[in-house]
Amino acid sequence: MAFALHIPGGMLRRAIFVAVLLSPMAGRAAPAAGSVITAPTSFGSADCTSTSATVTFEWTLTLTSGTTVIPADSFIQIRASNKIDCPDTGTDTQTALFAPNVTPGTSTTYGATTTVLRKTLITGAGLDACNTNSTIYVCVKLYNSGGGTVLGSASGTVALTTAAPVAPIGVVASPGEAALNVSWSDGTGTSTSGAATDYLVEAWPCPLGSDDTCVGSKATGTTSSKSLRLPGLTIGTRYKVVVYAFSAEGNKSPASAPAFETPIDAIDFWEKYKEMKGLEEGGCAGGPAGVLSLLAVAGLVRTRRRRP
Amino acid sequence: MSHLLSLGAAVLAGVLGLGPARAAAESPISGSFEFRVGTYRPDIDSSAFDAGATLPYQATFAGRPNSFKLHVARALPWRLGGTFELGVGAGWWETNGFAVTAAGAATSERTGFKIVPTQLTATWRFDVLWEELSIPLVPYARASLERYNWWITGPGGKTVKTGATNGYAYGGGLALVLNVVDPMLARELDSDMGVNQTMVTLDVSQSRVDDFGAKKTFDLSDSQLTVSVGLLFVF
Repeated sequence: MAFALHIPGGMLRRAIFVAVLLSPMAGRAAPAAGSVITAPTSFGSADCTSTSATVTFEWTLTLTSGTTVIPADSFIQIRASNKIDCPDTGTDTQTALFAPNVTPGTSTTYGATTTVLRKTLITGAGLDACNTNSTIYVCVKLYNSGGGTVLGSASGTVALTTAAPVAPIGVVASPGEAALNVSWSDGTGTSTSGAATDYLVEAWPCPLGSDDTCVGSKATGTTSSKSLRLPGLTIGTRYKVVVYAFSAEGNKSPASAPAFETPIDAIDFWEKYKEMKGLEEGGCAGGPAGVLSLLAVAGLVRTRRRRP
Repeated sequence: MSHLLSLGAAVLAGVLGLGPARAAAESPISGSFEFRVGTYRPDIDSSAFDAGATLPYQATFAGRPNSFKLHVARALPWRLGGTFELGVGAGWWETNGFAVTAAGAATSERTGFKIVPTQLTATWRFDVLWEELSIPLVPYARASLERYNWWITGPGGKTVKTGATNGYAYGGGLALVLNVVDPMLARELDSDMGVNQTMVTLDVSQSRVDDFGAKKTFDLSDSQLTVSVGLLFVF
């Protein structure tokens, strides 16, 4: 039996419905009774320390047997744990309360979104070390006013994935017009490596003989393919280029082996033509025939004539 | 091979007047539509450059494949000792090469030259042979005003220059009426879609696209005769 079915009156239910539609999770399947849906469904290593990355919850409670009316002074707690069902006590539990005393009776308690820092969730589950793939159990419990009786509950999981891709290999930088065209391949991973889904390319000015102490402003680019054009570089300046791979959870690989290359001044066809003292200046020619032909094109397309 | 033999036999039969009588109740003809592809190489390097200089088109695009020039045209007919048509057309052509260094060495940076030719055409099609004698060959002559809208791309695919050049072209060709190959299918095409005749065309033309002799312009005339083949639908 779904908790929402016991809310008196229709206004609140309509408010909840609107809130869900407007929430970032709108369009997703609603959680089944007794379940919690999170967005995202998995965390990466960077989430362990990030002070900005958040996670959003949506849930539907299953009421305990015998509960038919929700007392006005009841309250909800949201817990995180590395143990299934987020046990309340016990020497080996690492349950943490991270969104205490959410009071039922407002839309946010019934499937609208609640957002917290991912870091809070990870810490709450006792996974501060953030050094292994883990499952974080998320539990929502409805208590009576004294907190001694659980009236309803819902649970779900979030995967903490710490595996990073291996460093890209075969990085090749070819010189372009004030740019470098960089390509690479995925490194050969192991069973504990994460799959690469995105890449970061970095380039520093790096004079010959100072490969390890490159200085100057860094140019960067990101892509999900295995090649990238890095524009806006200085012609004639030697650059050191490295590539990083990222997993879907944002786990960063070590840097690739560097490649070194120097952007050039590439002469395109127009520049070559002008260099050879070509006289064309571009723009639309002033000849009346061309204009007439274009007008005729427009006119004839609109005209139909039938032979008798 | 058997298809070619069949086609040849059908054409021969048509030429000898042995083809099936043309359907008496054809739909009225209101125009034509043609797809055409052909050779093209702009004569940009014919402009006056310094003696001994590396010609820019040759330096950039030599040995690089050109796409065929594609034309799609629509025409409206009048009867005038055959069929006289006034039509419009548009097309596409491009070639791509590599930018070079100051020393002339090729780089990995691409540069391209692209043209959208537009044209106003006047065509006289001597289709009396087909209309009156069922001979499935239709010679034709065509003259056109041309406007070539072009742009040049440089490294990174960015457009570095755009422009347009006017001119004219003239030529002619021979069309083979495919109705003789399968008259029943031809009649169905007419009754179902209003296509009276379907023809394969072989077209030869000479273009002069240099803003009518202006000096400060690209010479986009074809450096040789333009030869194209097409498919013409008379509807």
